This record gives sequence, structure tokens and C-alpha cells, in this order.
Amino acid sequence: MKRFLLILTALLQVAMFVGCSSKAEEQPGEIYRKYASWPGLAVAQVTDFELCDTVSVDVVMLIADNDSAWQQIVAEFDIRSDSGSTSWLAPIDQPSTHTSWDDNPVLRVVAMPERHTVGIYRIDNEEQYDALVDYQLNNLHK
Amino acid sequence: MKRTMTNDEFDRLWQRAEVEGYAAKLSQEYPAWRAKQRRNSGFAVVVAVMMVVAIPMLMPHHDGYGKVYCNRSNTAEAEWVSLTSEILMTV
Repeated sequence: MKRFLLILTALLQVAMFVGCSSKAEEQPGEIYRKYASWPGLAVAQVTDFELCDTVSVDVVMLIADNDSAWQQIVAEFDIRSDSGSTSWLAPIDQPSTHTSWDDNPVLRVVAMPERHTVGIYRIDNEEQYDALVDYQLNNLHK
Repeated sequence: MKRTMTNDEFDRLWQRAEVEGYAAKLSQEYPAWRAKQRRNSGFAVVVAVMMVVAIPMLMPHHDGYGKVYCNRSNTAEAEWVSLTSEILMTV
């Protein structure tokens, strides 16, 4: 009996270890990979950014090092303002196109021209969409 | 009728043999039991090592994010996470 428990525990541990190892080998998403090689651009992907206890989203941040790199971003995302911040929903593969929420996966793009920064939040379902709005509202009142 | 010794009984016998100095003799007289005892100890060590490695990997993050990938090597994860939150507050 003792030996059986030891073997069972060992097998469970192997399964857990394999599961953890495969998780650790996750790769960054397509959006990150697209922009990571652009010159003059610092790119980061934050996975599972928690909006609340049960909902998280993947976020890609782009920061241009110089005006030249920023102009590439402006053209890519069709950013028409030089100040403040603008935000829109975009289809997954067309970040410059403005769309509305219709239960399909979208990107929430936030552009801050003065900081040469763009944030791209991937929203796959209504739960994430609602949590993102709630996150903004809750934190604005803090 | 001859009764088979249980694992626990052999363990107790072995502990007493170690204390009283006849462990080597016991090992010669019961080589199969001693081998079994060593295998069990080996299993226990393997399981303990795997738990030490696997359990921390299973612990959930409490930093509010999973992982940060970046194309620059000299940046701090915390700064990116902070920016991720901050930029949401600007719109």
C-alpha cells in the first residue's frame, strides 16, 4: 500500500511537472512578435494582466524611442492626434480600423502620442470587455 | 504457519539493529527486505525533490500578471506592468 501511494504520488508529480514545464514554455502572442523586430521600438507583452480576481487579459505595449519610430506607429495605427490619449476597439488583425463590440474578439487600442506609447489589450469575450470597463471605472474613482 | 513480516515491522527491526549494532548482519540475512527498504527510501527522496520543484511552479502569481516578454533586455517587469495599468486610466 505504501509503495502504491509512493508510485501514485510520483506519477502525479511527473504530470504536474510536465504541465508546468509546458506552461513555462508559452510563447508571446502574434501582436508582440509582429512589432518586436521593428527598429526603434520597445515592445513588451504582459500576459494575464489581472483586471479583477477572475478576469485577466493579455496586453502588448509599444514605446517608440524616437520620432521616426513614432511616425511608423502613427501610420500603422492611423493615429490622428498629437496630444492627450485616444482609444478605440479594432478587429484582431486590423489595429487601425475602428469597430464596435459585437461578441467577437477585438483589440482595445490606447494611444498616447505625447509619450510615444500605444497599449493593445486583447479582448476575447464579454467578460473581459466588461472587466476592462469596470477596471477603468473602479480605478478612476480611487 | 510462518507469518510474513510487514514493512513497518522490518523498519522497526532495522532501526533497532542500527541502534544495537547488528544492522550489517541483518542486511545480510534479509537482503531482499533491505533492497526493498532502499527502493522505498529512493522513491521518497524522488517524490520530495519533485514536490520541491513542482509546487512553487504551481503557485499562482499574486503580482497581478502572469509573465512579461520584452524585446529589450534591460527593462524591469514591474515598470511594464505599471504602464499597462496606468495607460488604461488615461482614457
